[in-house]
Amino acid sequence: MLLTNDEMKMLDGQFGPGVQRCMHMLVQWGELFGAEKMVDVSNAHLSTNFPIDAIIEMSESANRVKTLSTTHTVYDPKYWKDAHGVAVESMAGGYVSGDEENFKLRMGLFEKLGVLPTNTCSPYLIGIVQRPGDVFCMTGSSGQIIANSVFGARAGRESVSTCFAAAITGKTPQMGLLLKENRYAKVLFRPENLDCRLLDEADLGAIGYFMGEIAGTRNAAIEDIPAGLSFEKCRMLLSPMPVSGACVMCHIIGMTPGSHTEEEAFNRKKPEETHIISNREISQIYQRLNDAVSNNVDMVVLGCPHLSIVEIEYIAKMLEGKKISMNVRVVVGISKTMYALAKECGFIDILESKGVIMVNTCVSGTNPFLFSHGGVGVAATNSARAAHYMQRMSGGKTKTFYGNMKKCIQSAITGQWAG
Amino acid sequence: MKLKGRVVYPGKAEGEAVVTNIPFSFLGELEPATGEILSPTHEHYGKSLKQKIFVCPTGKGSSVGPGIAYIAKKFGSLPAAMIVKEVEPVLAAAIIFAEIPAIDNLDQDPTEVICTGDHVIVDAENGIVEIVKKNL
Repeated sequence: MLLTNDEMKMLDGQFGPGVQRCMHMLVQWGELFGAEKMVDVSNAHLSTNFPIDAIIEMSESANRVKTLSTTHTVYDPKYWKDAHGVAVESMAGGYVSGDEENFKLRMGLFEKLGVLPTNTCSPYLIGIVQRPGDVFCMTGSSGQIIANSVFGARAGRESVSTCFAAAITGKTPQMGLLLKENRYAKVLFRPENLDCRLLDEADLGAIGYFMGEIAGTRNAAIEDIPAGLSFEKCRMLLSPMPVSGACVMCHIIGMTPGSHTEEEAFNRKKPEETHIISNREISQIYQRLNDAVSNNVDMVVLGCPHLSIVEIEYIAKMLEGKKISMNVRVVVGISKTMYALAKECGFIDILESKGVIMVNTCVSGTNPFLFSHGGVGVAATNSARAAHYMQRMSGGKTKTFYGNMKKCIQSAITGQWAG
Repeated sequence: MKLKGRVVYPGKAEGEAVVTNIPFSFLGELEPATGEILSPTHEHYGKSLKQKIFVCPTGKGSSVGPGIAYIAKKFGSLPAAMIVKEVEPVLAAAIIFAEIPAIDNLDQDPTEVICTGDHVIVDAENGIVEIVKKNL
């Protein structure tokens, strides 16, 4: 790999051992995948659960991060214990620590390095903007696919260690989806006998789930999506693709920057495969994401990915004048920044008066309620991504209902799935 | 039998092979404290990879993988080396981050020519794998 003078100095240790270790890792990683050079990173989004020892090793003598650096969702053990009586030893196979001191130390280290505590999986909702072409090292696959497919930014198949190294060095190897030739679509999906304007966000999530499974690691494209589709619906279409498969680039033809037409999305080549999406495919996914047997709902999960102001307003309006069932806990994922805006708008007062729990934690796979007090029997959600993760991360203990936000909120009111 | 491949991360190790045909993710499949395979549907469920030579086709899944590998390293429960048909970016990042001697792109498919229980000598300085069959 060809390195600039500055990059060579980093590799030689002239900026200290932390920067050296990070650059060394990035060079080794890039060379395995044929990267010819490093590129500047415009934003590194970091896992807040990254092990303390690793943070210390990789930032030794580095005073500050070298690019705009932000943080993913947080599990704050003290908050969860005090506010919700929940204490878990660890989650995600030991990656998420339940130790209060460990959490405080970790967040302190991030602060010292100048990392912004955005604490959300949806930094793009709170002013952390990607432009077309920007290089975005993102922990969290929903943010990767949204950056690539909606904003036209370039986000590769990153991981917690490579994102941290990108923050410390400001660099990442140019490979994978960072290269134009690797961004074109390979698999085409064509809705048939479907009026896409009438689909709700859960229908779109089911379509995304179906597409991800077939696409696997390949880039996808979908046609016939109406140009005016809301940003919220776009997110729900895209965010399941990296969990049912490993797809982090989907050309929404007519919307994704540079993909006005099928020809542009596929670089004038023929799709490797074309798949039809009809009601049949959608209902098959609904069946799999609805594995609950009893109609009773114990928990309603909204905000995977973390909610936008439009979604939080919708929930507040639907709950106004209503009461949440005694047997249901409503858990909503939202960043503190979005929470502040919703507070200004008066939505938070409504939601808190109803007992809605709003957290900047991940509410799907590492939702602490799944792992405490015997777990959760049945969870209802409008997120295909959340349904997938809750079924699996709970080891099959949590069964799910999957449907649109309206149905989820009705279920919260009645205590019965409204499907 | 000897195979030649590409060095993913340098180092030398030898030990008993554990071979799988399922793409591997550190998150959800490896218990970092013990090195045991966590996933109940996995063919090696409950078996420990600690100090073993782990052979798999490629990686998959969560970006948290390198974090789990790092924690497993602190517990001393990582495989002694890995032999991979072909690494993908997250598995490669985990191997580099946890400094596991590893080789991929061998001249034969390692998941076919190596069997669980074989004694394997991995020279990930020179990209050479030597297989001593268990039944010979």
